[in-house]
Amino acid sequence: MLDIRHVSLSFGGHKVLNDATFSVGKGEVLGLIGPNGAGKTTMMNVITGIHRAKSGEISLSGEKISNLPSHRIAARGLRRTFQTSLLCSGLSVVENVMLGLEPQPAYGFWGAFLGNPRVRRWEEEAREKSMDMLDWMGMAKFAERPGSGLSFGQQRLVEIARALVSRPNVLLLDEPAVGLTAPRVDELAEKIARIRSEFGTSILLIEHVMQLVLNACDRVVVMSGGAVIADGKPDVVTADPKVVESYLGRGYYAES
Amino acid sequence: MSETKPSLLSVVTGSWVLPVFIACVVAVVGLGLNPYLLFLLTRIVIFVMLIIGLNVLMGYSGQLSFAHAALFGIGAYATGLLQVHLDVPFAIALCAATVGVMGVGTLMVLPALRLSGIHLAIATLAIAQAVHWVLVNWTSVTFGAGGFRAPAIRLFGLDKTETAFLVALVSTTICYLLVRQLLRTSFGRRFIAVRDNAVAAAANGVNVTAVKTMAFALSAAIAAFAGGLYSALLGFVAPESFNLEQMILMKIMTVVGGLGTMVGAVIGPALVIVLQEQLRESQGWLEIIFGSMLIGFVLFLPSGLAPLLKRLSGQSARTETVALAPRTGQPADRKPAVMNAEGN
Repeated sequence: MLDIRHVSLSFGGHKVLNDATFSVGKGEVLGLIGPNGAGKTTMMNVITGIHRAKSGEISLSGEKISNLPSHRIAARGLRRTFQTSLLCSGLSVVENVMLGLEPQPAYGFWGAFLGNPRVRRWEEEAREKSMDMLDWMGMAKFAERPGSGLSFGQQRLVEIARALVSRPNVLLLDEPAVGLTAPRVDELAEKIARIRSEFGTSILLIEHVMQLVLNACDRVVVMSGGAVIADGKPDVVTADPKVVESYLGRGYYAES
Repeated sequence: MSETKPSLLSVVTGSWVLPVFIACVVAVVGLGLNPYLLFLLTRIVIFVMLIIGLNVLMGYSGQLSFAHAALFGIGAYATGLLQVHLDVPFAIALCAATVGVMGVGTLMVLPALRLSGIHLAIATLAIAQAVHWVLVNWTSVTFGAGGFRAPAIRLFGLDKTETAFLVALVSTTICYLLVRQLLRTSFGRRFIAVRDNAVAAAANGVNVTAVKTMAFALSAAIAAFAGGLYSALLGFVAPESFNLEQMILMKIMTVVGGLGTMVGAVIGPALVIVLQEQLRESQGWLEIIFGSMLIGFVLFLPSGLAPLLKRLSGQSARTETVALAPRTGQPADRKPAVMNAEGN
């Protein structure tokens, strides 16, 4: 579904991605873990067109998407959330979710300008779909609040709703468990499983909370120093000496 | 799913009824005023249109441009000069100026694609100064610093101020309704999304370049149209009517009325122009008062007067940009929706 092949990127001579190769299968939940500075978020930024890779190729459903601008990648069915919640404070919660449907409005500038009847229909449908999505996330009661009027954890859930409302093929989640309590992390793991089973969406999950990674992911890729150092089943990867050495630490097994 | 019925107040304020009713009242009152007050009212009406355009660019789309007075000026000059040099009728000159300036405004998106905030402000300020230099120095076409006399327009046996007033009032009302309509759709959400966070907007499929281009083009077209009407009202076009001081005045109108609100685009110009006229006798105080107003609003009322008035009247400050679609049901009452793999 999503293939990353030999992707490299440097910032001012510092190599932040180094020949990274991995893929996310159809309907798969893939965890991307690694120490801070490993290049995980940079990789997500390269996949979504925010940064351009110096070399390598990224393809979505067999179609090359490297070097496309972000909005065109999004329109092809790849959506993401951000490490720091980026809801629009000037829009209500439901309008933030409607933003996820923006690439497909059935009307153009003049239709909107002159109040074409199709505009009202599309807007009604978009609001309805967005409300359903919020409902699914358990956030419908906050629909009319401003985007900035929610707690950090609630904003994360709305951001996921916004990314999901267009039914993307691939969803990238950048540390969605940050700031969530342990019971909320379990709820999130359950939600991720439902996203996959009900929508058939493939998920790439960057996360430091191992509880979520182990509960939600089918496979785990570990990055360190911009390179992929391990790729496999969660229990196998977490036992890999290289992963223990560079990320988990020897205390990981002592604690678990 | 239960549906909440919109209140009569929201139907009246949300539809075309209230703006058209207010425009009719203003027309009746305006035509009964003496020529000086009618001139002042027409100036307010034209500046309302101008600030609607500036608000689309600055308030809704977050593009800090200082070239709006220059675009307003090019509109006024183009409309006037087409009539003076080529004997083009006013209506055609006005439309040609609007289309031409829309093109210029669209080109101004080029710096906006690479710059933002203070850097964009400086780049657009440089463009404005360049335009001002051309207006002053290209004397064979623009008549230089002394300006030129623009032909008056007269309709239905009315005098030139009455004609300019009615044309401006009808145009501004239509402009208000069309822009408000646009901002209530997906286009309005895209403007706000680009303003609030362009990276997140792009990641959700919003074409940031297209949105910025549209904002610049639309605000430029409105500025040019307002400029053309202003040339007809003044009957005389000169560079000092469109200099940096005018630009700052426009910013004050936008901030005082309320950035990113349609009502603010009406309140701001009205308040600032009335104040300007009241203080005309004591010119020295004008700059001090406007400067203090700007600092005061930025510090203590950054959203401007429109959201404050809405709060006082018990309405949500976000009602102007909400989507056209009716608010369906009370969210808390909704039954949980279960979607299948297709999301149906």
